[in-house]
Amino acid sequence: MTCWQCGAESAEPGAVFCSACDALQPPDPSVDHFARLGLPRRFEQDEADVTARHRALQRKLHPDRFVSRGDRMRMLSLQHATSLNDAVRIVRDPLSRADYLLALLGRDPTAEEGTLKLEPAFLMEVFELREAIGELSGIDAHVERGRIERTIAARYEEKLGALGRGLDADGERTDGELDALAQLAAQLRYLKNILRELHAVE
Amino acid sequence: MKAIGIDLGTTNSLVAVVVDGSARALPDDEGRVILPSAVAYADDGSVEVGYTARARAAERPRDTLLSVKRLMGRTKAEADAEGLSTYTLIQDGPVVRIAAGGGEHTPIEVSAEILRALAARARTAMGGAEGEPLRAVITVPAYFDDTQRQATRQAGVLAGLDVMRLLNEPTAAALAYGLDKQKEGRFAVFDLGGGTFDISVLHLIDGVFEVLATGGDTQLGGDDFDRALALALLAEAGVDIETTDAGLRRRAIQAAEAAKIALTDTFEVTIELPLPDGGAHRRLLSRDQYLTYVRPVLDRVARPCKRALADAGVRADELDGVVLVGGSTRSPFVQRYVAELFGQRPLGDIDPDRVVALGAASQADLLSIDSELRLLDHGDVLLLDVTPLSLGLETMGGLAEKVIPRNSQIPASRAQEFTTFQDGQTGMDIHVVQGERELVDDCRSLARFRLTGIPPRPAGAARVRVTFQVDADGILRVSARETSTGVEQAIEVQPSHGLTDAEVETMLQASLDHAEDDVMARMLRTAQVEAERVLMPLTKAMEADADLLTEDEAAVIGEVIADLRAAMKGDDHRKVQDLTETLDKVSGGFAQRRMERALQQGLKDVEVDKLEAEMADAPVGGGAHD
Repeated sequence: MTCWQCGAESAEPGAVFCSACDALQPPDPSVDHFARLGLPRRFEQDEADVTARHRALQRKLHPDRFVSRGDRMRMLSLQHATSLNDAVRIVRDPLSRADYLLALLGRDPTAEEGTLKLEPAFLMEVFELREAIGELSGIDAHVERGRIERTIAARYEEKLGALGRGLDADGERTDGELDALAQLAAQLRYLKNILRELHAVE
Repeated sequence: MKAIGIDLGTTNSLVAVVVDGSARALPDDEGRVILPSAVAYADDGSVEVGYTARARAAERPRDTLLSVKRLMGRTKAEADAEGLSTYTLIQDGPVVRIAAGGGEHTPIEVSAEILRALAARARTAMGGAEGEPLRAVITVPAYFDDTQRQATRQAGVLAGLDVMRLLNEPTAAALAYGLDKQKEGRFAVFDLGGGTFDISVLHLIDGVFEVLATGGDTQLGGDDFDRALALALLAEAGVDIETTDAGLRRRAIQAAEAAKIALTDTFEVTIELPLPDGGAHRRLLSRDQYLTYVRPVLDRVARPCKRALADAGVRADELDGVVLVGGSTRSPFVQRYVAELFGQRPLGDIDPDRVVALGAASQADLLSIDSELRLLDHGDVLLLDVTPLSLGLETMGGLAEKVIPRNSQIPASRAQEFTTFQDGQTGMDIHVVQGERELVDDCRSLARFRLTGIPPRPAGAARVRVTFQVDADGILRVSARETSTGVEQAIEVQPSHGLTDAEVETMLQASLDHAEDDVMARMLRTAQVEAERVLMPLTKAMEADADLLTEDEAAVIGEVIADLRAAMKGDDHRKVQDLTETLDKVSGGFAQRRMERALQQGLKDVEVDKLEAEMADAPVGGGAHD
């Protein structure tokens, strides 16, 4: 990589600062969200560590650090800070982290939304849950609502755990295994929406 | 010269600067740090700012401008609707002007007068020359929208300041507090002023002040306590509030305000309200009685607080402190209520009138030239803030699609892809909105623009990518790009009018009150759009390829279409969905035959694409894709 300011060749590809003149370099678009935060590419993450790394990097790269270092560097720091905020948003939340890992494996769940068929057994389960929610009424409705919410939350955690283990398993994955993971991700998104609706109506 | 921090308040303004490692508010030559936010225009064109201007308010009410902050970024219609202003407002362009002292002045210019007075004070204190540039951080309410922020920045520029940053007031307060006390942990900043309420939850750690969530109510403040008690007093006196004259109402509010202030130090106060019949309403008011009158007002702060905590993912008992800001937090009632709400005694050891300006001065220092020259003892601190309100786009059927949700960390950038809805479509309207509601009509319109020059292609074939970028000041920039040809248009969102505080408030309250209506409305709208997507191409195809339909088939399809059209006018989204599915089924054979014919005729690829696009019960098209 050649430094835009001094023209020096950087020995380190993906370096954020020029080793010769210390000028901020453009963010490397090929770096994934995990690498941007200096984290291993996997589902299992320590959330406190994720946010701590984000903070430490923002301390170095935020536009406030480049107020008097010229328009070019301020613009680059805006790009870096934006990418870091993007990265932490994706990596900190377990479901978006799982979706992103799937996308890196070539199965973008957001692109497949609407085409991926949910398993009939899951649809049945969801149908029953929706029916139970639809029938909520009377003075005990909030108690029942709480029970349904806990049931969904438990299913959610269970499936999220399975998805995480699947994503972090060693070795190459077969298409069948990837299908199963994409299926889990789609189900999780579905359950999350039900939980959200449940809150909205509350 | 050192960079300064300015609290440009509704009632009072202050300027502060970091001296010998700590932030200090700068006094005028009579030793007063507060500058009343009052600007008086004389007939000869001369201008007075501050105490002398405020003193003229009674004598020259139309030429003495108070609380101009409430007019920033707003229109005459908006100000009138709220009964905000007793001034003569003129609106014949995008920005409202106020007639005073024989001239006309925009709120931006009036604010600039206040900023100029503060800048002059700073120059005197620091011995800088008149022409020397003065760098400043100016604070704004966290809930200020794009237009209000831009207006504030422009006022700074007009006053000859180099505006380094607009800083949210609660964040400034947290900065002042955290730096002063060298604290770490999670804090809530409770900012109750004369007319607005802001709540922010922050995490102070490793020298970073990270705003986790912010919320508020821009129509809630000390004024509301006075109004509540005044109404009670008038009712007790047997006055019909509907018919009472403005003078009596004004006196009742003044009596209520006086009682509130007296009860800060005493436990009982005697109220005397002169009545038009020559008599007077007299009563003794205890602290407990006062509390029963204002309790409903106090209860309105609870919801934004709970929501901000939920958005931040922090429980009240996990907070390491609650910081009080704003004059209204001097009231023991407010302090006790906050203690109850958060389960802990609030911290109030920095003067709530100064804390925002002190924080702004600290941030100005932190942004100054080189870290080696930073004057603060506590060193190297960074602020990470969030967007207060969701930013989105209008999609099919008048739905608001959130592109950047509220409480997203800034700077932030997100893109959304849209497809064309009609064959040969060459333009697309982009409508940018701000707010939390599901329907565009319930959100605030920020800007509209049209992307033109899209190559004419079958519906769904052209793709438009709309990108939102919010910078560190919270200012939005939107660009749109047709992805196959790269036709691009970008705008700095500069709407003709601002989002009013009342609207932000109404929008937020309403999003909570009407969450259920919204869900139903959204489902209905989605079903209607889906139905239209099946109906439109089908009816066209039936005209074009009528010979492929048997008579029975045509009759059945016709019947279902009629039923669906009727259902679309109703409000049962399930019925619309069911009929759409039925229509899809009964027209399946026809669709198949059309496809076969098209293939036989050896149509061009693009036409086949078009047919496939018509036939496919694709999830969305014309609407937004993630």
